Amino acid sequence: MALYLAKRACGLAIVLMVMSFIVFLLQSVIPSDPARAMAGPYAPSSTIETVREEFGLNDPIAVQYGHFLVRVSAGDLGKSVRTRQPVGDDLLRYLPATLELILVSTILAMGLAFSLILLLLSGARSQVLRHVFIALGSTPIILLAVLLAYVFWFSLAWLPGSGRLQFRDFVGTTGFYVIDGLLAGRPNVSVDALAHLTLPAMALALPFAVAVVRSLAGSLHDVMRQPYIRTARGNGLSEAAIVLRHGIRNAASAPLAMTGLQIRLLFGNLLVVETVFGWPGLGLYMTQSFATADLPAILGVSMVFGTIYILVSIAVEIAQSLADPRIEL
Amino acid sequence: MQANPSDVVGRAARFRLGVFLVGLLMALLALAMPAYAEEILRIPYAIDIGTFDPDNGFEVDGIGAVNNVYEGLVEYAPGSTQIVGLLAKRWEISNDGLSYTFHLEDGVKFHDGTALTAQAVVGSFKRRRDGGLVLSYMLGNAADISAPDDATVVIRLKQPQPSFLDALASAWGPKVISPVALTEHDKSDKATNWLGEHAVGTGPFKLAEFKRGERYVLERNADYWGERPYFDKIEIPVVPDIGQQILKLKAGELDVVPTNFSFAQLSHLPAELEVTAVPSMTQYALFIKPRSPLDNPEIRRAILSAINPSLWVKDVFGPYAELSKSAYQNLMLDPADPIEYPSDIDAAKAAIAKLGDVNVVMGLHSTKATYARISDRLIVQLAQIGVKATAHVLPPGAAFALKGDPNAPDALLTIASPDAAHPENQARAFFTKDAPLNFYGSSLPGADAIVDVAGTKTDVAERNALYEKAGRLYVDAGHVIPLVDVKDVVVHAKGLTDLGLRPAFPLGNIDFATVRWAR
Repeated sequence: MALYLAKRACGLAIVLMVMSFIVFLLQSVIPSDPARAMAGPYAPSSTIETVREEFGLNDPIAVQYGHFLVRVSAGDLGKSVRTRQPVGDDLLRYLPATLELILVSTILAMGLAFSLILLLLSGARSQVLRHVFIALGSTPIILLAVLLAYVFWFSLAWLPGSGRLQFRDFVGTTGFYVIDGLLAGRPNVSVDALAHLTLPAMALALPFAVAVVRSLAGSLHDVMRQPYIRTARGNGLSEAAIVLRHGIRNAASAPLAMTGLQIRLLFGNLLVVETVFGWPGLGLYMTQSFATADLPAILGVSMVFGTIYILVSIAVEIAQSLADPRIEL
Repeated sequence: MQANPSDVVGRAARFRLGVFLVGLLMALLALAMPAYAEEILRIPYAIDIGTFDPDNGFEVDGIGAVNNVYEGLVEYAPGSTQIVGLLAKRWEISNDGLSYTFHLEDGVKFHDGTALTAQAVVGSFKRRRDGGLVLSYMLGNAADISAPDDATVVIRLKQPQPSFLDALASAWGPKVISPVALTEHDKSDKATNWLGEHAVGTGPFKLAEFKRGERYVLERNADYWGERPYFDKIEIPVVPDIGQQILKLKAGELDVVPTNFSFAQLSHLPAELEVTAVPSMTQYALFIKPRSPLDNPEIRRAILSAINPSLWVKDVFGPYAELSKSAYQNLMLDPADPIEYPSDIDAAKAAIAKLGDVNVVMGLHSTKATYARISDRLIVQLAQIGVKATAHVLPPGAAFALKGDPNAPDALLTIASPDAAHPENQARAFFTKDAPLNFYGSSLPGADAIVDVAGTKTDVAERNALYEKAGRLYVDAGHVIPLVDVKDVVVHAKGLTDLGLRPAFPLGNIDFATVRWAR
């Protein structure tokens, strides 16, 4: 395990380096000029040149990348072109909202997946509900987000449609408002934070859950035809016990891999969902940074997402190994 | 036991007195309630404010908030392009046009309680000019900025610039920042870091909360030297999605959708909403690539016949736009000889048929729906005369990289609006050889020479005639095709009035100092 973790840590460093280099290369092919975005369209070329010099944008890409690596090794991700603040500070400001959303949507996705599995196992009466779930999960994320907002916020007024919290005076210690509310002895803050989380988390969780369930259903279908399942049936075990004890465990590898994949897709979906729901997280920060070609900010978010993804991949691989001992780490 | 009649009378009197006092108290409370109820305006921003530093960022949506916290020497009067005093109550311009003397208002205080002095103005203006900040160019022609006394500021220019007052009145013009704040927070960075998220100006509102990605809150400056604003507080949530903004307005969670409301939806708004539309400096125009098919005057004439805006302006904008009369916005310059589009479609068809296949590729400056609606109409119109036109949205920032690009589209559909309401700003921004927004780098030395002369004239009629002449040359040479001037359209809850929209400001920039509910 230690060797595996050490290998993966080295892999993480290499992946982040390659990814950051790709983002740097993108800068040389995209037409956007951060200096122009910063100084405005009317600024004369002399001003643009000054800004480019200040941010080192006139240096060759390789030199800029070298400077970036030196800065990163000292924990400095540079300064955002758009906010003029250190990118590290910006990331710390936006990260808790995104992590809280990812966490809640993952929990929700698992809950939905479990419910769907139960529906799948419960027979023909659940077909309509099953198809509704699948239709919702297959809807493009932007439509799903808008639909959820329209129905549950605008039409029914059951849940808030944007923002993170209605208590404007509240300042949390961790940045995770659900936890902060409890820590501060204000459960109403936690409830409100959960209410605000529900729709964006639902938009992220639905496609996630459906994909995992589809994968699990396929695997389970094959596993339930294996000889050892017939043996278990022959031994008089109940169908539920067979599925839970032998079926799901042996079928877990593919859905676990799908979970890792879905978490990667989740980062892309975050950009859409956070924009639709005005969720002040890294997705919104990234979207706004694209418009101003704010490379340091884009790079910073990419590094965070890349790190989270690799950590999730490690967790998934460990889980796969635990579920199926044939898979070695 | 029988009650004493005098006790009964006393109890009754006390009861009546009690009822009277309770009634009086309730009446007083009722009277007092409106006075103490906080008036809050809720207006969304689609994108975050990058920086609140008035000298170091080019904010578009957020400039309204910046301009309600900071003030400059002069401003455009709401609803017009007339320049009026703000922190300067009056000013004089020397006969040689080089020296501007401003006399400051009395009794002005910064939000930190310190008094406005001429030295503070000098300090702020020098910070902008010399601090390496991105908006320094607006004071680039200022040779010297001085304060002969506490209430007078003198700016001496390097060369005459009749548009200088417009530069000062521009939405991005120089503002005055508290010298105490500048000194306290200068970490060898001209306080740019601190001023990115904090503010100490003299304006009618103070920056009370700056929470990126979530909201900004402005609170009324109780010690404001000018007229007291109606609203106590301005809440500005960040709502990136226009669909969400509209739903929130309809749900009563917002009072205004300042920009980007679909023109198609304006004619059937719910009864509780209304539109305020005023003329603006937003001119949609086509900039033409040199050596494109449109370089051929015959093709250009045919194309002009087909894309004649009078054929589609109502379809796209309803009553909220008018035909552009020149290369300048109609509000900025009313030309003596307005542009007239040819209208002989048959002749256009014949010309194109004679020339063979004509293909035109249009680049759209942004993903904004209006660009697509205009380009759709243009494509259909051009198809009628046999021109095959296509359009695609350019990636962000790509419009600024078209110069010398052989793969650039034949024409760029963009909004040509200057940073101030002076024809000099329009010509120098879009048309002259080194103009930053001369997208294709076109050059017409004869027209540029006329702009040079016009830029020295103080007589408005004389200067306008020269700018019009130069503008006509740019149009006739096929550098630009002005299309339509579009109004600034704000959708808001019924009863909101005095929005204070300024034509030379970016769209939807409500003046929080003037806006109020009509009672």
